[in-house]
Amino acid sequence: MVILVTDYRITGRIRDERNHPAKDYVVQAFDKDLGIYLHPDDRLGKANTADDGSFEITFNEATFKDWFESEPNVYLQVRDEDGRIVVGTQSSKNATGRIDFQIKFGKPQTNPLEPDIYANSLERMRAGLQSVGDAVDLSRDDVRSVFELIAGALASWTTYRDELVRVCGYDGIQVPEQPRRVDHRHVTRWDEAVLPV
Amino acid sequence: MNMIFGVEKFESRKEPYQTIDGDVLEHCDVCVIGSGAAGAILAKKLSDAGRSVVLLEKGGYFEGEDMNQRDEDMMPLLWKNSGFNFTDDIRIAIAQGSCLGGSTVINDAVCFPIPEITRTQWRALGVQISDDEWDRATDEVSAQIHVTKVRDDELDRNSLMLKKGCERLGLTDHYANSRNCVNCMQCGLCHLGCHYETKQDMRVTYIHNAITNPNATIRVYCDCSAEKINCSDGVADSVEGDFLDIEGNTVHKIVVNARLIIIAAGSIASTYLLLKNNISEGRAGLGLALHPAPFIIGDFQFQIKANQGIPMAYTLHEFGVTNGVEDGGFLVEGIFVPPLQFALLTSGTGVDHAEIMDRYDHFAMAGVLVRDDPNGRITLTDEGFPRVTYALGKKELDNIARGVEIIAKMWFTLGATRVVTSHIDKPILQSEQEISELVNAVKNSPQNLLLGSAHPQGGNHMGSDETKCVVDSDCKVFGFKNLFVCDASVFPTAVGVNPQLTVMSLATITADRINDKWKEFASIEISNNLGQICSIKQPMYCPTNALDGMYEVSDTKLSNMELENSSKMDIIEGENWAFDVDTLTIHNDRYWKGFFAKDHDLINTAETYAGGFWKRFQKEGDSIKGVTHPYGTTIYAKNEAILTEYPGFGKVILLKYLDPPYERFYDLLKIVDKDTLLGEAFAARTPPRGEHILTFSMSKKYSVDFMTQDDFKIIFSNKARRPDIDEVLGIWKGKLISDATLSPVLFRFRFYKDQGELKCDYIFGGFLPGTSTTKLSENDLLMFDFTGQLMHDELRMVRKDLMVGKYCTMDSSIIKRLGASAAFIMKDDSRECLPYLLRRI
Repeated sequence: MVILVTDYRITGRIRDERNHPAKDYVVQAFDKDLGIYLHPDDRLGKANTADDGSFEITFNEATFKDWFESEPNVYLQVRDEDGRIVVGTQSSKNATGRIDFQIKFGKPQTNPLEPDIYANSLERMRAGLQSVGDAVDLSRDDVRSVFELIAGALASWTTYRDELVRVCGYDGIQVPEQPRRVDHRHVTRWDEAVLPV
Repeated sequence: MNMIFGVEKFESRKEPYQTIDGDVLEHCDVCVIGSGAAGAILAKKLSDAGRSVVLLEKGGYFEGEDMNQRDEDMMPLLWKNSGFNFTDDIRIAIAQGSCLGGSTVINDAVCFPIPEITRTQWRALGVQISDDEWDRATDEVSAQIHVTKVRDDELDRNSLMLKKGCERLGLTDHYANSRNCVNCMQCGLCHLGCHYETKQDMRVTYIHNAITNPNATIRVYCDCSAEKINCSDGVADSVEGDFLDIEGNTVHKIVVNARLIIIAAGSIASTYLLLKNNISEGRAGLGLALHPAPFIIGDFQFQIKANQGIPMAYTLHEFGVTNGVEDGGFLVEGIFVPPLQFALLTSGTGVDHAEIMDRYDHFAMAGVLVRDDPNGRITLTDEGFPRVTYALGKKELDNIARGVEIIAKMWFTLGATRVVTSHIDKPILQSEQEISELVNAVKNSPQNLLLGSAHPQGGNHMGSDETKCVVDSDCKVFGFKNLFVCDASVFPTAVGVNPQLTVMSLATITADRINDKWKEFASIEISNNLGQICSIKQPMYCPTNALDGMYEVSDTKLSNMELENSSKMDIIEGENWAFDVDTLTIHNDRYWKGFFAKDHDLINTAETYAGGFWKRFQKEGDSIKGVTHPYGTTIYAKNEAILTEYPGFGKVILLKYLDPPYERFYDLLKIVDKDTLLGEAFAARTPPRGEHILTFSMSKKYSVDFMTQDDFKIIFSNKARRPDIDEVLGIWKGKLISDATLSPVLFRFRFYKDQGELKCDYIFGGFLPGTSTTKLSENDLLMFDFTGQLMHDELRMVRKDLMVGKYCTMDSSIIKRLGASAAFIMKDDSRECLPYLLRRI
């Protein structure tokens, strides 16, 4: 089902490092363009965060539409009362007309020497499943059949994981694979669907 | 200083953290096992009140920045057995956390107080907790973990679908959940740990507050699996455990000696500990409830993107205990899960995995949380692991059928093109007309229903009847003065709602009661059990670096004359040999028994002493002379022990070898106490400048695990008796005995009755299984295996958890053909035998 979007709404909430609402911050929304002088990034709107840290920015097609784009490529900048940029988000195209940002301040400390705690994670998952197989009575048809179904799902995931995420557009992962080693900000962004019910 | 300890070498953590680098010995007021919803609160409240607390957690210590939002990375780190935790028929997947903070780290943060109906029912079953206590505890916990109601603007689209579905069906009792979350980032990945630390799990609340309280004394040990609870005469005095690395290998050991021990490891793990340690026999493990939950998924033409937002934000209460249903009942809860969990959950549907993922954005999902009767039980497998057995009753099946019918109707009413179920016989419904087929399938083929459970409860019921219950209303184990179990395992019935708040409230009440009654426990002496940890008092358990370190910082405490052994080499019990059956310790003054470091690489260092050794000393006038004998050799190297002092070594006893070819060797000994010494062996140059060969320890007192064949003969003859058949039932692990080496566990026996006859299933070396028949003789329990009469076992019992046995033959060639090393073969009159000891698992 295809929905044509002409009006856009950006909502969100900002909290500080201690999860308290971040009020009176200025949130600016931009559409990322080519960046050269004929096509600077478009300003989509601006809002101040409320007492509960929430904000809302609405805009329409006219605010961003250039001949080369049909969707806004949205990013935010959050500034404090002195105008300093506290957080900037990555840009991403939006086709749904609804974007929600949840932002938490704070710059996580990174350390390249942190051990890789995810090493062999898939092997450990397989070992976990294998230990189940060792503990139950696989000579029973009903038990073996379910065990094989679960093993099949894990095997499929192992084989096709990256492709499935890419092809199906799963957007759930929003932090680096090694968060202790790679600089990142705490932003959850959802390009939301609109329910017709 | 309060500290969290673990096996991982983390560089930077928010809390004070230290990597474990050796065995640990602790003495404290309270040892808490398990750091989840109950354990964390007990540890905090007891340490706040001034008790010194040690908290043991099997899982690892992970903070928000470790949660990388990827199923396959986080499930091995945070979930018990990487998420593969099932009933024994693999029909119900049981979600449990195994990390610091327990299941509160991976749950959906839903908070319901204990329903009034449940409290009343529990009171009728003997649980003496008043409404006022429940209310106060619930308020206290809710404040600590910041329980707040989900706002309307926080309801994600999956929740809105459920809400709409309820409205369309004319249902009225449905509303947003309350959660322990502050300004949730709505990432939808509660199951994978909260990267942003907005979820107020036990780690960021109670554990953080306990660690940072300067007036509290608390040490938290992660990666630590508690295995043994030592008790006698109704007093539990210590906990022994293993530190495990990320692959499950034991790297170090821990012993915690405490006045009071609280098991708070969850239904399955707490029961495992009780069963393994023969506590509450006949009562522990009974009456398990699971809140079994099927999922029903609607597939819609429009996008829902149900992963975007709070996964469990909305509930239909109409048919549940929260709406007055007293017997059974169910809730309908909106829920969505990350993609790998989704794939595993839908694995039974037969729908192609790729197709499932392709439709991921178009699914809405809800589950039925059934308040079940306690239909399950927890036992131990032959290998000693916990086994969960569970069967759905008619009531549960009726509730499941009703619940799935309602959800399926909702989805079709809202426009679903199909509905995906968790019943193998009817995985897909193409229209509302097929719902009745699903209902029939649920009721008539329950064995093909695949379910989830996030709430194992019961197994160690609380109540006033000590013949049926495991704990009283203080969570104290019946029959014990100072042992407690406090977690969901003590619930006498299923609570009927997501149980974490009830568990936390119970822990709060229990902690308050313990604090109020502390005088009772304060007088309990803290024991000094060493278990099997490396210590200067028992250096045979130490690795090389620890042994070297202890040697370097010691001087000899006693003179060379204290090396003297008994003048008699034969065992004379009471004079030069003794056996303590309570501590399973042998005291042997015939010689000093030598021990290598437990990680000593015997093969590559090609030691003369590769098989083990002893030293024996006698006074000769003013001097003390001895011999050193490696087991299994004809070497008796004469030596003289001289008290002296060397720069860099301190006071030592020089053991000078007198005769060729040994005179180019010497030892420097340091006596620790009358039964223990440390030594270093040198060669090539004159003391003290010789080449260091190895560090060793010697002892005149050692555990039965180290017994020699001479020790075995005396114990077998004089300290053991023929067992009764019923006494041997169960599983035993066995080690061969030699003079020289400490052999690992090599075999297992399982004794059981087969039509009244005692039999023994064995597995040798992990790959040679078989079954022996048995027979009682006048003095022994005899066993006969596949060799027929060629070989047989003779078993005797030392105490109910220890037996000694020998596997004998008249034909020495047979044992040789078995491949047994000469070190393990014992001459027994005209026979040859392999002696062994058995410890009950």
